[in-house]
Amino acid sequence: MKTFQFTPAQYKLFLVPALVFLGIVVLSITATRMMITRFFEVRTEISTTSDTNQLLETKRATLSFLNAEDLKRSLQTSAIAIPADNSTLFALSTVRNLAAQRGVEITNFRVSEKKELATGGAKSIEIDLALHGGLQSILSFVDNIQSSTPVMKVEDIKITGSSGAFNTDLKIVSIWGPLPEKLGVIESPIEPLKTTEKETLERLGKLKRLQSQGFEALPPEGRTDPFSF
Amino acid sequence: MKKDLPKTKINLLPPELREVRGLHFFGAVATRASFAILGVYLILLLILFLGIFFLSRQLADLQNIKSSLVEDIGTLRSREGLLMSVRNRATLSKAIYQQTAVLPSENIDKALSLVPSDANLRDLSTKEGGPVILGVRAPTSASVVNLFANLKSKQQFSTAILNSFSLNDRGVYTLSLEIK
Repeated sequence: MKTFQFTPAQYKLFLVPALVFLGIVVLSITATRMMITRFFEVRTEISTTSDTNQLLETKRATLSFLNAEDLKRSLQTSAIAIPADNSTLFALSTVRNLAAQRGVEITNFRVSEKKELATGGAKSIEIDLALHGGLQSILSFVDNIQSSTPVMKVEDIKITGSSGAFNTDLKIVSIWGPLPEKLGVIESPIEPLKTTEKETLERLGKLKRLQSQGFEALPPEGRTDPFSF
Repeated sequence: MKKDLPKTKINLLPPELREVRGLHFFGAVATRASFAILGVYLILLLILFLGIFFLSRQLADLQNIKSSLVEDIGTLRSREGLLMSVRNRATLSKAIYQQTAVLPSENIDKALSLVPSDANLRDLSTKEGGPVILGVRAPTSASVVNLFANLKSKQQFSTAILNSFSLNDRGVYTLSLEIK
């Protein structure tokens, strides 16, 4: 088989077109690669934007469906039930007023703030009470304490005494917590209130605010709607 | 008469260029192949370009819709704030309400309903989720029997442990029950 022999002059003749060709190939590959990359980027952006739009549409529908007045009312009642600021005085005022109403004598009390709850800076207050009074009065006091504002729960109870008067040690727990101050990003999903949440809010709304017996510690109010200026 | 002479090829090219002529065939094939590849490449490039163009238009449309939605939601943000705050209160109240354990006040009412009318409550204690310790003074043995009869008939508690039971010199029974 014959092999072609090129002279240096012939090599030079082919060198320039070969280099130009190589340049064109490299540029074409680069441009094509960029275009392909862009193509897939746009496809991904379309998919993302489409998902976001779907989410935003759902969010708009959810928000449009909400009744702002109902929400305001719920917030007002629930913010009294669970105040945004430290509610120790408010709770003590309720306890005192209720004891006066039910004819129960408070012989001793101790208030301590328990550790922070997991939810957004909320804290619980623990009130240890020593009471003296008739059994029915004490039982009525215990029942009413759990249906008055701020929200309170009797965690521990010990009644001792005779048929006339009883001494009672109670441990009452209440909570308070700041209202959220920042809204999430506009693309963040939102869900309407669940049935359990509605029931809880309804329960909070039914809590009674006691009438003052001499003095009244006002519930910490602040702005009940921190997002309305 | 014309006599056929044998055909003789004469190549006047210099020896170094004679073989190069053989390349012409391959050159022609290479040229055709190059044009074909270029054509295919240009078609692919055109498809890609059109694809990007239409996808970009679709993306622009979607972004316009998104802007409009964001604007709409912006006007409803106060409702979102209210919903967030209300939900926050509902979540916080779980610390008080969503305990599976029976509240002490509920247990007290049940425990007191067991005590017969002629007996006296001596002491009573309970805590959330815990048993009720019920101390009773009963003036007669019939009263004690009534207490246990109530405990059995009302079926409000599943277990009952008699912690202590005594009778003093005045004939008064004192007993302590742990019921749950």
